[in-house]
Amino acid sequence: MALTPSFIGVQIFNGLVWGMVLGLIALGLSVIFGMLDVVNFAQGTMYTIGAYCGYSIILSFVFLLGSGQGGLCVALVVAPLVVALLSIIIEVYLLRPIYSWGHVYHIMLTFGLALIGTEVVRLIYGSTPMSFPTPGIFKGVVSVGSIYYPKYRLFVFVLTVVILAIVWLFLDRTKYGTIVRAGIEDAEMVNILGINIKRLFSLVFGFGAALSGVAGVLGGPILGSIQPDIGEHMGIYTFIIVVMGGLGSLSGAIVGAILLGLVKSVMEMIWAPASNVTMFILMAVILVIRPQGLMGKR
Amino acid sequence: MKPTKSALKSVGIFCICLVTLLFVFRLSEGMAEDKVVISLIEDLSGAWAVEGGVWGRGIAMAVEDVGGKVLGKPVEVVTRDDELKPDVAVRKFREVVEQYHPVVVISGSMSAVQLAMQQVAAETKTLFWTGGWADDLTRAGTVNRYTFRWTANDYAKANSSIPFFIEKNPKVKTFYHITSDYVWGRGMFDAGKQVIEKMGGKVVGNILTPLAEVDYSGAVTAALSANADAVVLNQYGNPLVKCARTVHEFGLKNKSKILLPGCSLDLIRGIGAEALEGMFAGQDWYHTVDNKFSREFVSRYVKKYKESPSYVVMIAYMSAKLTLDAIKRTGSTDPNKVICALEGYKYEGPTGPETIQGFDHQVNKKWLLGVGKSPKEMKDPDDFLTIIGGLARFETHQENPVVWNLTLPCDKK
Repeated sequence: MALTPSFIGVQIFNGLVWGMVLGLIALGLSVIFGMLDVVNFAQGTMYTIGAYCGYSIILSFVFLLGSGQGGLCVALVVAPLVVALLSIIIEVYLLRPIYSWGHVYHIMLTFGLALIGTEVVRLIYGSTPMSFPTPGIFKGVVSVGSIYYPKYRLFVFVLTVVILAIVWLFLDRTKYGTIVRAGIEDAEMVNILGINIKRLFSLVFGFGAALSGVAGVLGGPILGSIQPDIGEHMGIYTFIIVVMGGLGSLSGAIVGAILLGLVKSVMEMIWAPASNVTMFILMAVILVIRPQGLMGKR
Repeated sequence: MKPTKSALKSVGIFCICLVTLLFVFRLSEGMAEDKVVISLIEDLSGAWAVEGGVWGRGIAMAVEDVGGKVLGKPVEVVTRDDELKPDVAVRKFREVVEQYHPVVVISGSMSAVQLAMQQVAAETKTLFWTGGWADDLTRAGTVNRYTFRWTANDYAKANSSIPFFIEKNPKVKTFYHITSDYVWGRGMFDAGKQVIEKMGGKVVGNILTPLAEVDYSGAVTAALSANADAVVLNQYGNPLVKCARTVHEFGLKNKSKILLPGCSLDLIRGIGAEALEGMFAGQDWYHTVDNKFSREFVSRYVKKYKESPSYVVMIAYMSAKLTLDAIKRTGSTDPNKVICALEGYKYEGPTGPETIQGFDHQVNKKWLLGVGKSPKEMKDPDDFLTIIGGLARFETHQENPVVWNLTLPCDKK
């Protein structure tokens, strides 16, 4: 295939869009690990729940109003809130009692929750993949010369950049963000300073999961359809990202996500069948050269 | 040394348990012998689960046709999930054979799974109706005498649909393929490429996509860049739904004609009318086919399930129906006799006159081509396609020189 500048440009942008969606999930995972020291294997399932919530909301709008347009806006608010609420309940009643037990138990619990979450979604919605509609206002392509690009993917890129900017501003410029960052550095010190660390943990866990929920709503029209095990695929990509970027590093999550998206899209130009396995090879190389990840601390 | 009382007691309990187990085993075998079991092993939870659920409906309708009984015995359908994995499918096949001794195993998930199951069919001497499309399933060197296929193979799909497609689109000269990287995808590409080149066309590129791919933007961007007159999506199941929707999302339909070699109604519902509009989709059968067989079948199905049947339902129905009819004709469930009854059998089927080819057990029938309607043209929620025609072009015995390694009584005739 001819590697024209327009083809390369579009392909790289595809990688960036995909990377940004994954970056939301990875950021959530990094925040949770950084603050709570919990490797959340259910992060991919939070994506699934967010996607199905979003799907249900958009379809309700189509059924009631004849159009799914307003549905996306509502879904982007409601679906993450639902995911956050569910996650807070899980944190309070299931995770909190076992924080001191160690990573193995955290992994077993969150892995089990991932399986349960997938099967509950399957019970409610069935195994049949559901087509996720693209909102009417974002249907179609933008054409610049010989380049065609879907409007929806442009919207997703812009929105994820805005969301990440808001998250960064919150963490960097607000009092509560400072508390979260301090908690990531040293949760015990934050506790000693009189801050309600239990409430903070719950809110951070909910926040991290909510980012996955947002990704689920945004990613639905990109993938075209959703099925109960979509979270497993996204979870695998997410773990590659955080390992590459550095577990617990917020900037590492974003850098890792962009890197993964670009590597995948570049390999698709060179040799598409190797696009998935290349991500694992890259992860292994980074682990060998820099075990703490690109932005992680030793 | 004299045995102690407790040792005697233990031996006694062991013997009682052993006798009970033997009795129960014999009883369960006897129970199995009182039924005729059809086994369905299909993907009910993986990437093809969108079709998995409807296979059972087709078989249920075939069982209804015989009043739920054959040779005076009730017909039972046993279903298992192969999870779209060859190793799981093989294990489940062996399990159902050991437990239920089915007269036939019917399956239709991806070709890699079918090829694995085909070997177990020969090993266990069990009749096997496959819904897989790979040519190898009925090809010399791999096919065995227990395997039958109603759905058209890749050779027939390519040789029936591509000439029709080119006839309807005479300006199409160059083709680009987006191919799923596994047995069937590669086979479909090879079959298609041969026909395209035979007809004077040119394949300008082929991008292989992993079976577990979730985002097809890269592949579709490559297809856009190729500037081909036509793009062929050698994909199936949920990957086809995602790929076709991404094709629509990127506006590739505005530049190239799109051909889906095979796309059941279940998948078409996932793709949606807006995305499918103008795309060409190959069909084993379609619910608007106008003949007595199809009209009666569709009427019964709609009454029962409140939606139109896809060709997947028909594959399951015909696989079960032809087997049950053969059992009735021979008066026996002996697989050797049933095989003899099936080979060369001619009948009036859902696509018109059909024949079970004796030399490779492939059913010779029409493969149809449809084009997606616009949403405004649809008369009902399932009215997605206009069928523009069909051809029946299968390999001859000369082209596919199958030699059976199993001799049957009917060979002496």
